[in-house]
Amino acid sequence: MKSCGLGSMEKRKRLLIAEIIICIAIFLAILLPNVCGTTTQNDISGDIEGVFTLDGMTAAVINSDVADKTVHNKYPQSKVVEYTDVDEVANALDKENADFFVCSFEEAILLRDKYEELYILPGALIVDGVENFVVIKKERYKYGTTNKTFKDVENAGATIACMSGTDDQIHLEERFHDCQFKYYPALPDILQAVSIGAVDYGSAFDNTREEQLAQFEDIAALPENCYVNKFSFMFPRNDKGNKLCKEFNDFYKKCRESGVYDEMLAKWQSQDESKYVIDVDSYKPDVDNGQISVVTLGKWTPMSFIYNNELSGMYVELTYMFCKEYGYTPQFSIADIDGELAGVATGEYDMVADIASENEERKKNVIFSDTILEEATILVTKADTDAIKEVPKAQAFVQSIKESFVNCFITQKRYQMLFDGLNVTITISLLSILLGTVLGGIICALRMSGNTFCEAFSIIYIKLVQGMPIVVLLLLLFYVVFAGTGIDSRWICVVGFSLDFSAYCSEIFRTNIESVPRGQRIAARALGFSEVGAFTRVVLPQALIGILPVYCGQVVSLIKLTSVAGYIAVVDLTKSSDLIRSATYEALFPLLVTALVYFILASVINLLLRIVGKHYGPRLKPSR
Amino acid sequence: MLIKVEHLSKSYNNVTPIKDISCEINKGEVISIIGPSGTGKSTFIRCLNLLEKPTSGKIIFDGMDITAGVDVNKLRKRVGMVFQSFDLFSDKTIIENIMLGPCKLLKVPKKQAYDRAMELLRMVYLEDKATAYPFELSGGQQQRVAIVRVIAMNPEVILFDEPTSALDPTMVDEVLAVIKQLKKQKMTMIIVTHEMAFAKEISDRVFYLDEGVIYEEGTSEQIFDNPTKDKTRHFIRKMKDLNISFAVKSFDFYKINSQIADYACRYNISHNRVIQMYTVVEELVALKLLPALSAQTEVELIFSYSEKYEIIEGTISYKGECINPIELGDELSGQILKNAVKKIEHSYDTESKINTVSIEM
Repeated sequence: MKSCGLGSMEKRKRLLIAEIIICIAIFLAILLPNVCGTTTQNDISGDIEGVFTLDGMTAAVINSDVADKTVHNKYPQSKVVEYTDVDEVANALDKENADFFVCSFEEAILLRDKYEELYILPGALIVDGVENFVVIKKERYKYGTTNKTFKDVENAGATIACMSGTDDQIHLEERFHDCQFKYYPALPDILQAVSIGAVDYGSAFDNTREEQLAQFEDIAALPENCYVNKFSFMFPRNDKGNKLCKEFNDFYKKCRESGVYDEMLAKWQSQDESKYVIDVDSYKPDVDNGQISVVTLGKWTPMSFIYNNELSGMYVELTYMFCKEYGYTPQFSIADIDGELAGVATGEYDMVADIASENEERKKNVIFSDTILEEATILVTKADTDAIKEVPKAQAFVQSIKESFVNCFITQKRYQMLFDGLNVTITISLLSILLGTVLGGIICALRMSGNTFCEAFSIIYIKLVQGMPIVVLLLLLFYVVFAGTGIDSRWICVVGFSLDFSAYCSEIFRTNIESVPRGQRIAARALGFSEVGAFTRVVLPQALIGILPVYCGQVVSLIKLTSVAGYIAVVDLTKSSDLIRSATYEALFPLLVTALVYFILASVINLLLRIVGKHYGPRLKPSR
Repeated sequence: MLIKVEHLSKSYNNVTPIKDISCEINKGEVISIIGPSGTGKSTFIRCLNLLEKPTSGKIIFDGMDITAGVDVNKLRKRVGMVFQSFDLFSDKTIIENIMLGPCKLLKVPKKQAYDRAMELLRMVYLEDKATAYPFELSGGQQQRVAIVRVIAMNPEVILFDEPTSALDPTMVDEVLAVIKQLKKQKMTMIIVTHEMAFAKEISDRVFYLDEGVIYEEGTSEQIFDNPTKDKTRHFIRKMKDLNISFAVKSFDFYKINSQIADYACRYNISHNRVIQMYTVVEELVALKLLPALSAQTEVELIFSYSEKYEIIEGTISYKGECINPIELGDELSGQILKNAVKKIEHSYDTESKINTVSIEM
């Protein structure tokens, strides 16, 4: 401490101001390019939303029975006009005498290459095993467009984002040998990756294509379908799982036959958000056949997602219905697909209310229900730039910030979710700090006990825990140690973080206790202090001087570490921001705010510890 | 009698620093314990307050056998100890260091403990350092505080474990002065020290510890001025030895001379002395003794030099018949030898058949 008095105050003030300026600069540096860069017009001019919405419009065909049949089959209300050659068709589309043109892929490509203003709609129409495609006037398409086809993908050797938990890679690799693959946990992550340019292409689903494109206006779908996936629910390969699966298949069959399933589909696929409510009370079972633990993705609109801070979605409601029918009470957890698969394989969960693609590998570990969904996989890529309609930046800046802020936190009271997550984070952190400190003290005592066995035990304990990534430790506790015990995963988190914290704590304690000269302890003993008295009166006060700052740092790093709790289906601060991110398709605000909250949380706890240390701890004396 | 020690021994896994110590210490006595390094001096006094647990034997303190399981903390309040490395509590101020024991262990009221501590600090002229931290004091000052910290507990005996060894020479005296002052107050003290002059001045009795026992014991005068045993004398006089042993047939005059030269160089022995040693080797050993011995006889030649007393002692020993080399040889070499030494004596132990020639130069 060289400088003191007025000079240092002046310097500290200047430092503080500089810090604030740098903070603001960083904040703006992150914010500006993000908000401005993604500013796009929200009211879209085109009236054609995709292959599903063409019914009733005028179709053009060229002398082809197949095309004719396709139109009749897919668009029964449409009028069919026949043309003799492609130029005529192009003319008709341009003048809007016809709205769309149905033809084979080769014809479509020919036409598009000849007339720039035409566009092949993504999504094949399959009738009797023959694929046909739709060509429209580009202007009328509501979403981003691309001229790329699978041929471009094959030639480019590009990177493709695919979803873990599906067979994407196996199928895609067959098709695109030279491509690189990257894995993402959920569809929104893939779309985001494509949007920010982290990958060249992303795999997506045909059925929900238009919804996805509506969220990301700078993304466009390639016209062809890759392959068809079969998706179903999963159950663990044990007696309970077997029984549940059988019951579920019966229930599902009944739903399909009675039309309940289609009603539900209509309800959840409608744009009317007021319908996105599950009346949980009405699904209370009449008989009590016990609880079942159900895991779901929680970030897939409209099948399983968070709405108004409640778990919602078609698969969730389906599960409620099923449970009512058979007298179960469902306990829902939220996990990513990897977590769902691992959890159901170990019997941690009794049911996965989320679809995963069926394959032989998985059938060894889990039981699949009857196929719920058959869906084609498509590829999306960044839309051609001219398709994105930009508005003047300056005018849109403030408004777009406001809009995305409102969207992220105010709409559906999403801030509530953040608060709940923060609550979980704080609870887990504080409990882990408390238990970890106590445990650390015990381990430290064992380490310094002089008993060979105790010492060996504590050394192994410390080495094991410190040598293991915290995520692995959590997963081990969750899927192995506490598997099937039904203990709340938040408690497992507390156990895991306490173990981790205690290992570091004990070493902090030990090194600082050992740094107190041995002679002083002996001198205290020689004065007549007991072993305990010498420790508390002489050794500890000195050790604390060294312990406190390192301990504070460890506490802060623990708080940040708890952000991995989401790995074992705990919805903490990070996970809730992750859910908001996938619900709103906005990355900036949820992440920024989460970072800020962690920063504040760490600062506050740090400050508290410092105050406690100043008042009750040892005096910080000038060093030797 | 305050302390009585009976056949005390202490051994660790592979060493036995104390083999068999018995002694009695009276109230008000000041005992110095001297002896070469590693002979168990510290271990011995650490046994007295049970910082080391004796392996066998008895220590009776104030009529109570403390080796037979007593409350050690209670005992230590009565037996204070000052360490070589001061060991002040470095996070506490001087006054807190002194008050900690009385306040927490003797339950003395804070005000009273403070007053007493200040009084004691005045005694060692450190009252202005009361609120300083230990690291702000010199070594001598720290040791004075450490002594005061012990006195504040009102012990019946104080053990000093080399209280001045960690101090540089300029600070030794200030600490010794405090100990002298304590003697005036009739404090019972047991002091392990290497300060011979101090030990001589302050002690009522001196224990010379060697080979794990009290090798010689007596008043200051007895031990320092007239030590009866060889080892004690060697130690007191700080004698430095040169050991040369050889068989008669492999006697090498020049090699021995060069060993003497090295020895003289190492201990800064004057040239005259070296000539004397050469003379002893040449006249007494080479010319008189060796011709009389058989070729296999082993001869041991020892020179001991004391810088303090400026003397050299020589010892020549060999086994066999009684042969007195002083009588042998010619007149001239006998004369040269006589001029070179102060005293020369031959003795013969008939039982072990060992001849010893003692020389003083």
